[in-house]
Amino acid sequence: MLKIENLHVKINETDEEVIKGLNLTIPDGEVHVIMGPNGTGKSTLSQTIMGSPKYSITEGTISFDGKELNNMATDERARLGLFIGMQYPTEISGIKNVDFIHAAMNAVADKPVSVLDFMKRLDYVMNFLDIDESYTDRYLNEGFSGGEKKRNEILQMMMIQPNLAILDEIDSGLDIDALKVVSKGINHMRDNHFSSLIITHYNRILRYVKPDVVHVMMGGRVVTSGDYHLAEQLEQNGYAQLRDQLGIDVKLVDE
Amino acid sequence: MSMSVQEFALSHNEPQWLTVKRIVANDMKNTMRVPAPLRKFHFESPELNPRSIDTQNLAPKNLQDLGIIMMDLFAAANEFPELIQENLMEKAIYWRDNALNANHLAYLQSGGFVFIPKDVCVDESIDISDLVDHNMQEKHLLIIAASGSEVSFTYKDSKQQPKNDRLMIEVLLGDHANVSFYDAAMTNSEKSHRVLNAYLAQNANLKTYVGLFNHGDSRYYSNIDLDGMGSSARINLVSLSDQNQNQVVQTKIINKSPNTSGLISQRGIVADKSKTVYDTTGQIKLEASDSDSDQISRLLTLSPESKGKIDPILLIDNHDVVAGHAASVGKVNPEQLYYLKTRGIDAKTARFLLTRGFLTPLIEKFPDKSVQEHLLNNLEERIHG
Ligand SMILES: Nc1ncnc2c1ncn2[C@@H]1O[C@H](COP(=O)(O)OP(=O)(O)OP(=O)(O)O)[C@@H](O)[C@H]1O
Ligand SMILES: [Mg+2]
Repeated sequence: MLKIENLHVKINETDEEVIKGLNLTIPDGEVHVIMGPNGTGKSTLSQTIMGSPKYSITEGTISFDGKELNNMATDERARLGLFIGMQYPTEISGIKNVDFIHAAMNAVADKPVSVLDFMKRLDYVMNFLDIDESYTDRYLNEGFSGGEKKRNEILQMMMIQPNLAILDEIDSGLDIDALKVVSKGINHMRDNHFSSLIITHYNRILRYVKPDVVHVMMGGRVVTSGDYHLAEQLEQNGYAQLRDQLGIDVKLVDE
Repeated sequence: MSMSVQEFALSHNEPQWLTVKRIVANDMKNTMRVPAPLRKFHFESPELNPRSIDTQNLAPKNLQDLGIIMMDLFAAANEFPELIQENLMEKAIYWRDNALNANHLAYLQSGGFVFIPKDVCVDESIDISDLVDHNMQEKHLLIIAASGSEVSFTYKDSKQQPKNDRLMIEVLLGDHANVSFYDAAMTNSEKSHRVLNAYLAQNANLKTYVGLFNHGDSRYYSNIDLDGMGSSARINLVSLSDQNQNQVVQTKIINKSPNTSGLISQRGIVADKSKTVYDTTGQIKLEASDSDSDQISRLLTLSPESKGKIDPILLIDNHDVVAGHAASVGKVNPEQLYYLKTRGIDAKTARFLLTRGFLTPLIEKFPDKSVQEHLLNNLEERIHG
């Protein structure tokens, strides 16, 4: 279970506080969605859960399975079972996709994964996600299209098999087929030991991945939560109306 | 007991013209300068001891059948006097350039000569490592690729090395000759000095692939003359320095004729307290219209104490050309490091993967797989440890 209490986060470079007293709990086995206007701190939240050196927690706690994460190194968090699918996956020249994924699996597993087992599983997952073979020998994300990068994040998730996957705008830039494939990947992971935090701007992924809870984030906090219908409501009425309904004082980017 | 230059020459039956040339060089060196950057590599003259010379063509049978000659340089001086007299330290590396070159000629201990006849093509790379005695200080290779020939050469240092090590390589390419040269510089010597100079006739094409992985202080120098119209050269170099090593790479391609093309690509890792300097020059002479000259150099420093420096220079007399350079010295990219860590890879392994990955794109261009592995294994031993 992921538990976030009264979280305050600042950006190291600008010293600006972006997350301002956020609370969130994701029990095992559940899929939660966060929606919210641009610049409200969704990516900041996901990177902070993963321990990005760009952000600092100034107050509050994050814990996973009862262990406090605040001062834990990023790689240690990953070995606890956390995974992040990034909004903008990093390109790394010189490291082959296949070598990277094998290294990641070995890092997270209790004992090394043999080349044979690894290749078998890779074959299966690539087939499942309809990913072209040529992906494996290319350098990590280098020259990948936006959609290819997102597919690659899901490929990694399915190989590593984390307990909690934070997926930041995994659906952005995906064509219709890719969206189905990516959703299929997430649904394949769903079981009692897997939970997910999906950050999205659109309802369409929620047609394929049924969320347990939908949260709305504004001004660095979760301002309301509900079920799938909350997302539909938002799509119809927009953030300004919800804000005014809730009577909160935040400025939206395009105002 | 050490011999004089003359005694040494006599001991292996050198032709007289060569002995005279050495004696002149030995006499004249005292009147010549040693440019400042070379001073550290102006080694004391080595002790000369009698050597037995194999006078056979040492090329493998299948290459001999194609007319290829691979010989001890001293034996070749007897067998092919015109060819050697005209070219040995006269064209690509000129013995009168400075006292160091003159001394190298005078005290030359071991050398190899390679001749590829006209229009001969060989697919697999020719290993020329054993043409010189690696235990000697002053070593030399003279390579002539006649017009239309197409070959590649591999040279690898052996583990045994003298305290001071020098290898000078001259490569002369005839019209339309196409040569690749793979060099794995990996000596344990305290000081290593490598020179590869080349001279290209019309439409000739030279690619050098150099792995500079020496353990001691080292200097790599390469000067490629694009003398013939339409000739082109590529220098691809990767380097590694660690501990207290001091490394200088000085590479230069000169476009002398129309339609010539030169590209220098270099990448290096600078670890611990070591220092690496890349000094790259592209020069385009007035006559070289429609030519291009480009340089891309990058250094990755691994510790705050590692020092990397790049000096890119473009000297352009003709403005009807395309010329450019890009240079960067930097540390491991924190975004990339973070990405690897989010997948559970620990900091040390992540750094190693990124460091190796920094060289990989260039090393993978080395078509010789054994050289690739050789370099990557050495990198792993020295950086991952
Ligand atoms: N590294 C950084 N340096 C400077 N400003 C930052 C940095 N990271 C985030 N910010 C700022 O913090 C605020 C929140 O950014 P964040 O990326 O978390 O928003 P978001 O909710 O993910 O937006 P979007 O929906 O557009 O992805 C923005 O104003 C952004 O400009
Ligand atoms: Mg975002």
